[in-house]
Amino acid sequence: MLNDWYYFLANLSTYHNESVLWDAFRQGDIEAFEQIYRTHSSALLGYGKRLSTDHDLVKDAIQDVFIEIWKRRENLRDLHTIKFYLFRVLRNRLTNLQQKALTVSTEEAPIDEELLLTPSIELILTEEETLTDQQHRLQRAIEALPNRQREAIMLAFFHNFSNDEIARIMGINHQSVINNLNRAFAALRVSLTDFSLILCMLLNYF
Amino acid sequence: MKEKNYRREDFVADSYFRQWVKSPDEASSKYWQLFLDQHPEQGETVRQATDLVHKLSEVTTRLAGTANPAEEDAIWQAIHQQIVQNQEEPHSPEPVARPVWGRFRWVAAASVAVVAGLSWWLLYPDTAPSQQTLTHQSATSTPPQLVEKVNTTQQPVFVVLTDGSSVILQKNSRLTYDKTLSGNRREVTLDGEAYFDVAKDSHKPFIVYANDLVTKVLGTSFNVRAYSGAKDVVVTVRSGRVSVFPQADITRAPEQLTSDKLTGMVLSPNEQAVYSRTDARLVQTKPNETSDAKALAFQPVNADYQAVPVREVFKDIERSYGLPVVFSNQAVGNCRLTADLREGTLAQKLDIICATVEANWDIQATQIVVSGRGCHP
Repeated sequence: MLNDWYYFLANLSTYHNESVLWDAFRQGDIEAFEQIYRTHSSALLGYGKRLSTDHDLVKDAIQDVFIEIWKRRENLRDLHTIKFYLFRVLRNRLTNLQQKALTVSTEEAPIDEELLLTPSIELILTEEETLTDQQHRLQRAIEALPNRQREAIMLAFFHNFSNDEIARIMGINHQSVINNLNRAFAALRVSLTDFSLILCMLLNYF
Repeated sequence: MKEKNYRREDFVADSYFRQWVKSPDEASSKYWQLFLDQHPEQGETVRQATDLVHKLSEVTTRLAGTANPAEEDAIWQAIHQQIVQNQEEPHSPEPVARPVWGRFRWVAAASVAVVAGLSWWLLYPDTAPSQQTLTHQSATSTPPQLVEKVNTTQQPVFVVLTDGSSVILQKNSRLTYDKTLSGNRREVTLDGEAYFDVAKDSHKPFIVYANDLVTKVLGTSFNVRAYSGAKDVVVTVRSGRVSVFPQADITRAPEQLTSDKLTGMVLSPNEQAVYSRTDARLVQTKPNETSDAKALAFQPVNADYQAVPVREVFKDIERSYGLPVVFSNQAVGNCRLTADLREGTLAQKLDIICATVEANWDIQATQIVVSGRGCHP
């Protein structure tokens, strides 16, 4: 259903060539701008909703951010810069608009291994039977990560930003990005190992 | 990556590794193949790291959740409405979709730009319609947004056009252009003196109308001196090649403007064309060191910098373009730049420099202001 929608959008797109799209956008073509908006809107909405629970605020912020890039289109370098710029400005804007509504913790929380093990054994067992068991475990473990670690993971693996871009989007230094990623990997490894050990034991038992 | 014995996580935390796994290109493939050749013992770790990148990518995609087209549409409608409103305000109070009106406004404004303060036109009224036909032909379906920059200061002013072309407008000069530079050529009208650093685009010639002289280029740098009170229009080329035509020739054969060839009088670097408006004669000369000092001072910065402090690079820019560069944070000047600045316009070079040292640049009055976090000395 989702895929159908994307195919529909892809067929709607007027500009199939990135540089043509880029030129048209720079020259003030609203259709080209819409195409750029459509390319990034769902990723931005998803990212924004993880940063703030106030979804109307997120929508307002996204609107402001796109108006801003329209005004500043002459100063933007390329399509990839737009994506980076959108994420960075959206995060700033949300932080400014409602500091308190942000679910982002200001401190780097210690890894909470207890939390990762909370799902019941029954639930794990039923999920283990499916083909995507490992994916489910990993998914739950990522959900349970402290906010900053999860944000770094999402920016690195889903949104495909470099560590340097992540640093600038999150407003932290380069080394903190690597630290956040490493803590996250450590937490994920713990959860994966633990779950598979439990599973092995259970399987051996039966 | 220099040391040996990395963990799987070290690879996964590395941006370049992730980039290679998710969208390999020639450079990254070469790099990681070389790494594997030199560290065969890391082969298994790299394989596991690749696997982890794929897994994390799949899982985060699922976590990102599903799109909400209705919500996205609603936001777009709001954005669209705001843009259209903003766009209409500065240039026309009338509602949108008035291409016909837009076209006439363009003709009128273009004529005004040349005629203003120019009693000379009144003496030769027969040339006036030619300007009109010309601009009429160039009008396109998108309504142009006419922008006029007038330098009333005593210093040169830096103007950047949509395509990255850079113009240094001298005092008492006026530049008029369509903000979007849409259509099949980029056209500007000059009254006064300006130095043009034109962004390369062989499909869209850049054309300067200055009094009765038309200058056409595909991407280069040159100076035009065409003060409305002066008898002569002078075009001095600093790099690349340009062609110049008397306005009358263009009226006779307008296709010369759109062709991607340079016809008319073709000038090479340090050559000059002088058009005498009184007897409508175009002569090719060499620039004069005294009278053309301003034009000759422009020397596009074209060095290949190797770890040079940015402070020095900006000094070169100040010297070459006569524009002061100010740092909002002195530490930016410490950053070192390794970049090839032989190609491109001033604006494009500033973009490259600033991207490299993570800074931003902006034009404030007659200065270029550079801001950023900076570097340790």
